[in-house]
Amino acid sequence: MCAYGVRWSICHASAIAATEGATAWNSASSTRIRDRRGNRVKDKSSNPTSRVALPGRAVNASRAVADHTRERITCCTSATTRAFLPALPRTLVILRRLLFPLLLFTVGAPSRAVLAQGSTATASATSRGAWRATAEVGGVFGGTWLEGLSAPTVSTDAGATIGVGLKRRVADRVTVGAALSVGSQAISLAEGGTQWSGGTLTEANLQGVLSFLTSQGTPLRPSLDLSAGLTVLSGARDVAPFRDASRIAPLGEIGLTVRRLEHRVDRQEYALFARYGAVRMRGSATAVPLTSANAARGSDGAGWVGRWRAGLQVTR
Amino acid sequence: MKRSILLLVVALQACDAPTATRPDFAYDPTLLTGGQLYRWTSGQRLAVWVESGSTMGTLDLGQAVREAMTSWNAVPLFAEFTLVSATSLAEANIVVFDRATAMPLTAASCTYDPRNSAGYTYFCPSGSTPARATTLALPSGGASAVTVLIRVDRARVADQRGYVSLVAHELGHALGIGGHSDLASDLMFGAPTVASPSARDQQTLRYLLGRKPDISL
Repeated sequence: MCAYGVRWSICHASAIAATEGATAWNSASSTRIRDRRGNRVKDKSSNPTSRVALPGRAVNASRAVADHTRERITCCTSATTRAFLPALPRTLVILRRLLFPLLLFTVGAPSRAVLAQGSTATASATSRGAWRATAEVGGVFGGTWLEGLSAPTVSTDAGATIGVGLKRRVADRVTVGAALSVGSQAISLAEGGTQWSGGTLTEANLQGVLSFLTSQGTPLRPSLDLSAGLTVLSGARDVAPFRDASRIAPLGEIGLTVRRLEHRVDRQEYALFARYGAVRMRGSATAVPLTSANAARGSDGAGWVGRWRAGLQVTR
Repeated sequence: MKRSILLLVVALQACDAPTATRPDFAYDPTLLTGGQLYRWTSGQRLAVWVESGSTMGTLDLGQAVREAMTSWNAVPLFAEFTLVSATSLAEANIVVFDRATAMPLTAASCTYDPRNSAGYTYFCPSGSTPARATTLALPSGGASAVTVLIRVDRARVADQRGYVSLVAHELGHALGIGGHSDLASDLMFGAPTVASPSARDQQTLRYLLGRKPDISL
C-alpha cells in the first residue's frame, strides 16, 4: 500500500507541476506586492473588489512545487509507535494509580489461593452454569485513528476505561459472557512537527466474550479471551475520521487474563487482563479525501484501529 | 498456544490504519502574496471581534460575521482552527470593522492602504522566514493580540446577503487564502456573489492548512 502510495504521489505531483505550474505559479509574478515599508512594488491585480496587502518576498516557484512534491512523498513509518511514545508519561501515571490495588491483590492472593486449593473439582462443578458478575477498571492505550500521507495523524493518548459484565461457565474450560465498557481518551493531532489537541473521544463498547482457560495447573490460571461486538464513538465531531465516519463501528478483542484464585461462586475473584482490540473505521469519500492506494483499489480509506486495554477485573 | 497468540497479536498490529491525505488546491492560495503562504498555527481558537458602529439600513455586520464564521468553521477536517466570538477587542485575533466606523487599531509598520476596496484584509509580517504577523496596537497604545484587520464597506453591497458574502470572502483571506478564484461560483472569486465557501474554496483551504507557512499569523 505504501509503495503504491508513493508512486502515485510522485506521478500526481508531477502532473500538478506540469499542468498548473505554467499558470498558477507564474501568475504570482503579476500580483500586487508591497515591501516591508509599504511601498508598492507591483500592482496588476485585476480585482477591484478585494485585496490582501503583504510585503513582497521573492519565492521560487519551482521550490514551491518541489516542496509540494516532497511533502506528498512522506510515507509510512509506524504511526502506532509514534503515537505511543508521547503518551508514555501518561501511561506511567495511570499504571501508578493502578499499582495500589494491584499490590493488594498480590499480597492477599497467596493465602486465598491456599484456601482454594484442594477444592478445584468441587468449585468447577458448582460454578458451572451459574452467572457471575464482573467489573473492571483499567487503562486504554494507543490508537491511530487516521494516518495521513500528507495529512495529520490522528491518535489518542492513554485514557481510562471501566466496565461491567456477566459471564457463565459452559464447559470445564470455556466461559461465555457479555460485557459493557466505556472509555475516554484525549485526541492528539500531529502534522509537520506541529501537535495540537482534537478534543476527547468517548466510546461505549458492547461485546460478547468467549474465554478459554488455557491451563488449570499453573498458579496464574491464564485464560485466552476473545470478544466481538460494537463500539459507539462520540466526541470530536470536528475531527476526521469521527466527524464523518459512522458513530457505530465493529470491534474485536483478543487478550489474556490471569488470576490467582479458583473459580468459585462464593468467592470474589481478582484478575489482571490485557487485551488488544481492533476497531474497523470507515472514512468518508466526500469529506476525508482518499489515499492514493485506497482510491486505486476502490476503497474509501477505511482501516483498522488497534489499541490495548489493560487493568483489573473483579468477579463475584 | 503462546506462539499462536503472539502471531495473532502481531498480525493485528500490522493491520492498516484508516488513511487520508489532503487535497490539492483548486486555485493558487498564494497568488496575491508573491508565492508566500500564510496561515494560523494549527489547533488555534481564533477570536473574532466585530467593531460595531453606526447602522446603515438593515445591514448587520455582527450577523454577517457570525454567518461567515459558521460557514468557515465547517471547513477544517482536523480542528486546525476554530473561529469564536471575542469578548473584548484586546483578546481578539481578528478584528472586523466597517468603513463607516473609525479604525479600532493602529496599523503596524506596513502601509495600511485600503483605498476604495469593498473589502480589505491587512496584516504585517516581520522577521525572517518563517515570519510572524505583528500584533496591532490599541489606540490607547496598549497591546492587543490582534494580528489581522478586516475592513469592509457596506456602501458597496446591495443587501445583507451581499454583506455576508463580502465578510466571508475577507475572512477567507484572514484564514490563509491569499488568492482569488477565477470562478464566480467560488466565495473567493474577486467579486464574490456566494455567501459560503464552495467545494473549491474548501479544497484550497484544506490544502494550505497542511502546508508549512512562510508567514505565521
